Amino acid sequence: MQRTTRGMLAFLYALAGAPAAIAAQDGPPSPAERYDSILAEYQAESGAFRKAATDEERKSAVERLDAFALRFLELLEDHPKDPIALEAALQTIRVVNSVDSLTELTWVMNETAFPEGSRGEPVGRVVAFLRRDHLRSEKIGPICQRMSYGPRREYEAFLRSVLHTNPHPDVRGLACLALAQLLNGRLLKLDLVRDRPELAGRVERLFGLDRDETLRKRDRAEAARDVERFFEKAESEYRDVALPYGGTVGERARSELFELRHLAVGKAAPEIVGVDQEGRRLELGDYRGRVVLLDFWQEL
Amino acid sequence: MIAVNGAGHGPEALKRVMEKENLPWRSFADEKREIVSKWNLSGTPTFYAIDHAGVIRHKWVGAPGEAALDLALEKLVGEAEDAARTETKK
Repeated sequence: MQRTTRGMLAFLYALAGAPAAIAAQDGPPSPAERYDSILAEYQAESGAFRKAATDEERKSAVERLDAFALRFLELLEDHPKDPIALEAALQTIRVVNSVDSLTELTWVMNETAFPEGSRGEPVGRVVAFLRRDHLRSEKIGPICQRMSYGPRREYEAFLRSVLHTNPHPDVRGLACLALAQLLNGRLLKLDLVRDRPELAGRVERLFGLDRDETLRKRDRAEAARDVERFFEKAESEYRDVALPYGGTVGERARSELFELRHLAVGKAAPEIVGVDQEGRRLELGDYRGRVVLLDFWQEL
Repeated sequence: MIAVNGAGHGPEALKRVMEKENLPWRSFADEKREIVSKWNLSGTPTFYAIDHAGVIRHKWVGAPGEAALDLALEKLVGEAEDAARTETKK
């Protein structure tokens, strides 16, 4: 691993131009250089899960990825005023989300060995940094968008604060959409564990949810209306705010509202018309009269 | 079960993937991502259990495990059979 890392660093410096690289190697790496090297190592490591063939290999791949959250976090805590700190915060969140998602995948794929999931500490600390130094910043839109992915309560609290106090409509628009998606994601995750109490404990620990939430003491219909209200707010007040990955908040909110209102339990399934893997015509309506399990899937 | 592949493959590419993974069912090849876009797919796997009348009865975003799927489908199949029996009696 060490040899690979040094090889990688040499390659990056060569791109930058030799004289600059030599000067950089005289002293300690700058925050930006430190960031680049952590990112390069992380990117090299991220293919490991897909290549893993055993439970132990998958667990180990996830745990190695998790270590990067702490490295990005330490960088931003060492240099909180440097512009790179915000980039490092985004990467911390990106790594945590990725580790959480792969952890959940191992719950399905593994039988003997399970990673613990991203330790809560990086999440708490990165959100504390953002809250302290960037709550009103015009640059935290993309970070807010990334917080839609995991139903962590630190993310929820932060997004609510941004929605209330950030003076930039573009940022508030992304936070509003992300909050709606986070709350919706939490609801759906709880639906998933409803029939599997043994999974409830794991989900609670991973996302810091309360026992009463996992036991659904809170009314689901009320929680769903909350979600709908935030999507409606995003659609009406922040319609034209651009999303980091293309499209607008309004467009995304409208898709989410369509799903909430029409692709929900109790609704008639919309028609699907297309072709199958043999090129033959396939329609969902062909199966009327029979029970259908519709499986949206993707190869790893 | 029918499937919708979310990777944007055309039929030929999808067939190769499915043969490699040894998957026996029929799957939509959603090359232009029209289906996943309309159904607002956020992640895979996502499952919908649809009853004999075309109504969505369960939705799982994530893998709920075979037991949960089997239990839900058994109940719906029972309903479908009851409905068919009622029809033939009429």
